[in-house]
Amino acid sequence: MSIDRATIDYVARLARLALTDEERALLTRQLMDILAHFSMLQALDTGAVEPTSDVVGLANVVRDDVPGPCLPRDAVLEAAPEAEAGYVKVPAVIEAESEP
Amino acid sequence: MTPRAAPSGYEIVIGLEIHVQLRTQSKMFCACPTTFGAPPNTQTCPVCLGLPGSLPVLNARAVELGLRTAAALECQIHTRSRFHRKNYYYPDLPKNYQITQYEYKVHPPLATQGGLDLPGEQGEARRVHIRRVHLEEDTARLVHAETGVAPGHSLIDFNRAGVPLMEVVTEPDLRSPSGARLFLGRLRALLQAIEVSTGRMEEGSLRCDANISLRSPGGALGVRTEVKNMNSLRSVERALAYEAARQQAILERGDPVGQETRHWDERRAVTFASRTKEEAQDYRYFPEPDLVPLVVSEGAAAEIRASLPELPEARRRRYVDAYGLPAHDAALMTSSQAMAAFFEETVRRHPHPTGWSETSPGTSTAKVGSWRTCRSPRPIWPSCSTLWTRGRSAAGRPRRSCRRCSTPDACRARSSPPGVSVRSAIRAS
Amino acid sequence: MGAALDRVTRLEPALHAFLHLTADEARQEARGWDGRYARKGSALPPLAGLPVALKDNLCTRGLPTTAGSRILEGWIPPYDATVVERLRAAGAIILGKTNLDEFAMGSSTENSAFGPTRNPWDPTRVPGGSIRQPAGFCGVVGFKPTYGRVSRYGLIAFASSLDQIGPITRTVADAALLFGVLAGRDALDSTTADAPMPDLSAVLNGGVRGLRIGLPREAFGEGLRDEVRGAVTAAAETLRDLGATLVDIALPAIAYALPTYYLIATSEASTNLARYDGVQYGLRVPAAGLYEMYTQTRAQGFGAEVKRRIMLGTYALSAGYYEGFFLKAQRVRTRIRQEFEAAFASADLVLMPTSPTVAFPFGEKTADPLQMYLADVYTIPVNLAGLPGVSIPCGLAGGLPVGLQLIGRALDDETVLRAAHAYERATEWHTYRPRGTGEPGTGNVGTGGAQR
Repeated sequence: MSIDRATIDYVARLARLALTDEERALLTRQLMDILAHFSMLQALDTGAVEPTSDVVGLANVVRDDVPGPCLPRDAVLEAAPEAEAGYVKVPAVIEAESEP
Repeated sequence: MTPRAAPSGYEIVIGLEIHVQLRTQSKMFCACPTTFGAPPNTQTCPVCLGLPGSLPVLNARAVELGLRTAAALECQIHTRSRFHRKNYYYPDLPKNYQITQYEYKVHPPLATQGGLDLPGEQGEARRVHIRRVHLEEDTARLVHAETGVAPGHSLIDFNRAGVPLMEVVTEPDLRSPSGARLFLGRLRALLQAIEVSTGRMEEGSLRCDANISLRSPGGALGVRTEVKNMNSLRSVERALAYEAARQQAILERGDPVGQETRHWDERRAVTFASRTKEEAQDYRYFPEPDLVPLVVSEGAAAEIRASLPELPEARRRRYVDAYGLPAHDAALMTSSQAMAAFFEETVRRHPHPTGWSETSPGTSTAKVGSWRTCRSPRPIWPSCSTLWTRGRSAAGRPRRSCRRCSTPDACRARSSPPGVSVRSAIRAS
Repeated sequence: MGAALDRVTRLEPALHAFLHLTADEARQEARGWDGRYARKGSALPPLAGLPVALKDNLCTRGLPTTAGSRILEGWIPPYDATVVERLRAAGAIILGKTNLDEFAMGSSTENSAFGPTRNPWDPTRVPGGSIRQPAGFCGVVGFKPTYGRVSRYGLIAFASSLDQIGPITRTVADAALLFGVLAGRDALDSTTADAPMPDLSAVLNGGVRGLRIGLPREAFGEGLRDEVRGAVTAAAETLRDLGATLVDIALPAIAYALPTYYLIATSEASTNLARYDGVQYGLRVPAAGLYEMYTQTRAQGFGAEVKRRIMLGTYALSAGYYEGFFLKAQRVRTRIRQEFEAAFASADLVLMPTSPTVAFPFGEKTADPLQMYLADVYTIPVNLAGLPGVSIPCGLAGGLPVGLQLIGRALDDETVLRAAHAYERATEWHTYRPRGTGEPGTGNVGTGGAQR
């Protein structure tokens, strides 16, 4: 199975990972090897089998609508790399950088 | 409502996506309070902040309210539904995925295939089909550079993150901007009647996005645009009217309409293309492994349907049939819980009114403003339950008395819950 | 506590097991418990004064928690994981936070951003990663409860439907004691079962008479080192001598467990790790725009294995590949679960080696990611099926410990512990210690030789 550069770049973009050229080359090769190995799954017939979508067999686990204690604001803002006036601060989206 | 064909012969096709904040005390997946207006970042916890190690636990009341809505919209409630992760990156999304319900053939959302009837212009009912009703969590609130704070940056308030949200999606059954507005108003009244939401668009408890396209009657669906940032019923109508006209102008030139997201600018009264280029998103939906399925038995669904209060549409018919209320007034009286409560209290006080004065055609709740009861010392009508408007009399003077009493300035305006004002009016007279 | 801390001080520089030590606080707490113990008459909680070390992917309020990653370096959680709360409530004293592969992605600690930990039996070899596999490599007990028995609230998530917390201890009785404290429904974790807990102290001494123990032929085939096969087969015979019956069972789908596990785990992990973006906590690489902040923070904060798994998982979930990869893996997972269920019709426990080899040298498996994944080939089917499993020492091969794995039916954690306890009481492998690490008076063991 082959993965081309455009696909690696697309996946890296979805995952918000900036890759160096070496990383891109290495990851491409490694992912191809891994996926080639994993393609053995196709040999197993699972036509009649449902995908596992929950392990515990529970349903309707809910909580009552009762408000509870919150974290103090300081606890939230202290951990933030940048904060201002009670808000967490991040750089704004720049138009150009969201081009694929 | 007959489709209003634009002069050039195009038919407008509109579908709505409505996000409703549910009236719960606590958030969707954690116990943080949902009260509006608290100082930023004072209503958060590890779960709604998406801190490492946190896990969601579903709010029972949010489920109940979602089911109630599904029942009121005559939807098929699915016996088994699941939550999914919708993956994308944005600073208002703490985990960079939103827990929602995806419409997936193996795992349906909470409810699908319902409808709400709208009266047509000639009185016939037109049904707007509801494609789905599902539950999800709200995002945090971003304060952007435009407001002048921290230029080049965004500020994040996580109080809203995790507030329970219900999404109602219609089929593209609406045929005019005014129809869309009417539908939204009806839906809001319904949601208020079943106590699911306060429906306050200005507070963000009801938000609406629209998809709109034009087509030749009987032809294929045209390219649609998504319109966002419409913050009131009036904006919805104005924005869609603008967008329909914009698309029509493009088509008449022979150009194709671009599929894009457009934002409504209330001040300039235009829609503009979103500044950031919208790419087709690969949300990589998959079932949320930290939550277990929701099972709603036939019996439970039936119980929810049976427990619904009188819905606005049924109430409207009852006011017309039982009290002979004119159609327009009946619509007005059922447009909100407050209106209906006022009317019911009036009727309770005066079970045999000698008649009803009609509001003038075109009166809308927006024009009514706060409740005013005629306090003329010699009211002609025992209860003067007429709603009267903020408008001006023929002589150009501000109205303070109901049209029948017409004793200028003898009435004192009182804005208070309708029931109370009626009682005080009766006591005073 | 003093003894424990002395050993830590003595051995830690060579082993590098801890990322954070709270020696002073621990000593102080211990003194407090000494006082309470002296004032007899007051009932002490079950773990009073017991020193406990916590893997550094468990959130501890006020103590740094890194998950072995630079992206969380310096982060101090504002809350305790539920298991931490339960340990504290039971009187345990937290000694510190231990090293792990970054976000638990690995089998050796070679993926930790803060350097590897060394196997006390041989400092040129890895200790392993997770619960059972490192227990096997290090000659101790590692117990992984049934999925849903122990709350994951506060466990920094790797793969949500596969992660489970469990104790690593010297004896099975200790593991059972800790399990009793940790387990039970948690209102903060929707996936915890409301299943009743057995009285473990009553159950432990039940022995194995009458138990049917299944040996899957697929687990004893090629890829399994001879010396490991020898020790594990001998252990099975010991259990038979104690009164259990050995039966042949078939678990053919476990040949597919590796790709199944890695497709599901990396898919879930790719979304669980999306939150590490420089916005609210942890590392942020300054940038002019948001997109660059995200991509640079994650590029610099994550190590190679984590990036690899995120890429793999993102790909497996992406449009066009979801059916073929993620859903297909989930179907094979159902098959594996069904096969275990069928096996448990004719057996009460399944017995397998914990790993195909003994602890391997550093660097042996880092060149090819697939080789590293293969180290988990016997443990991951158990995670996929959500079953309880334990690893106990059953021998030495070339002076290095060999682990025996026992697996039970879902929620039948007690039978797993009971059988493990019976084996332990009948043998002496659990008393062996690496050279230079034993307490005075006990025997020392090193590479190339064994003593008691």
